[in-house]
Amino acid sequence: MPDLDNCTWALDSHAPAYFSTAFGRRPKVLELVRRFVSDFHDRVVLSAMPSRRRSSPRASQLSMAAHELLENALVYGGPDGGSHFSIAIDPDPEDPANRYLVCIKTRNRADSQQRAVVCQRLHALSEAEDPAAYYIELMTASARRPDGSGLGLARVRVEAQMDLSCVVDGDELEVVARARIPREPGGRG
Amino acid sequence: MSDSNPAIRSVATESLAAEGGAEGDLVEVRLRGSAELGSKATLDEFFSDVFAASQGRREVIVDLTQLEYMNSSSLKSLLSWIVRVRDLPEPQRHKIRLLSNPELHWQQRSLHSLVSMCGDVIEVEEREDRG
Repeated sequence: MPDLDNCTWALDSHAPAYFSTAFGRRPKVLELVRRFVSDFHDRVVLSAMPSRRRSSPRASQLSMAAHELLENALVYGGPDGGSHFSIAIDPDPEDPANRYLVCIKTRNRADSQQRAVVCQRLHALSEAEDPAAYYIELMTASARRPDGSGLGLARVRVEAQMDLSCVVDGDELEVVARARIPREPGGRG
Repeated sequence: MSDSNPAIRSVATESLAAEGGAEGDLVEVRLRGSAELGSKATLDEFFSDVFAASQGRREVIVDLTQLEYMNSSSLKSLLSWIVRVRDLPEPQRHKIRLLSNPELHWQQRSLHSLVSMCGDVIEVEEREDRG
């Protein structure tokens, strides 16, 4: 994971800030990505030097989303499969003066069962009238199930407040999380 | 209070430490670090110990003030223990108090979700990091 001070991105407020990389299956990666996403947000949106102590509330939401999506990609991508991760924070095309559009993507090889499960879960989430109530339903069911939690995507939707979609491309699965966030007073631009 | 309740075994992984003990009618446990990929099995065993040690006690206090992050699998482990307690017959059921750190924003959201589901047995109390 690169040091933020050595990353380059445009400091013009109307230019995109983008970072992309690929990982093997190493649990430590998740902590690094969480920290990176938090710092990336605070640096780009708040123009704040990253704090080693605590992240901002929004940065915490984004780093949670990044963690959950990348963990899925690492787990289901298999031991040999690389997992791709990217985050972009762009001026929102619909309201560039006041908002950013954040886009987090993961991409990994996935078998047909995993592709079907993810697409089904995202469809159910998108159809839910009240995603928070649906999340509680999932938690209730998950608590009594011995195997995997099945909560990660719903957690991203509800707790990180991001919209989710997926794209199946051959044997690869791309999951995309998007959120519109306000420009902060004193931030870039 | 029976002194024959089993002990809570401390656990420590590269990213996570959990420990606890009972005194009188209270059980106190503390999680520190980060509950990440691979932590679920560790936490399942830990909360199984907590469940056994808390039989007949009045309250279990779970200190999360130094828990930097908890992934969804680990959250499920915590949730499963809470539901197990809630499923106990009323006379055997104890309260669960979660101590949260307001500076760790994930806790506000995730613990709120737990309260929405199990508010009859848990309460959340904000505390500063107790170092």
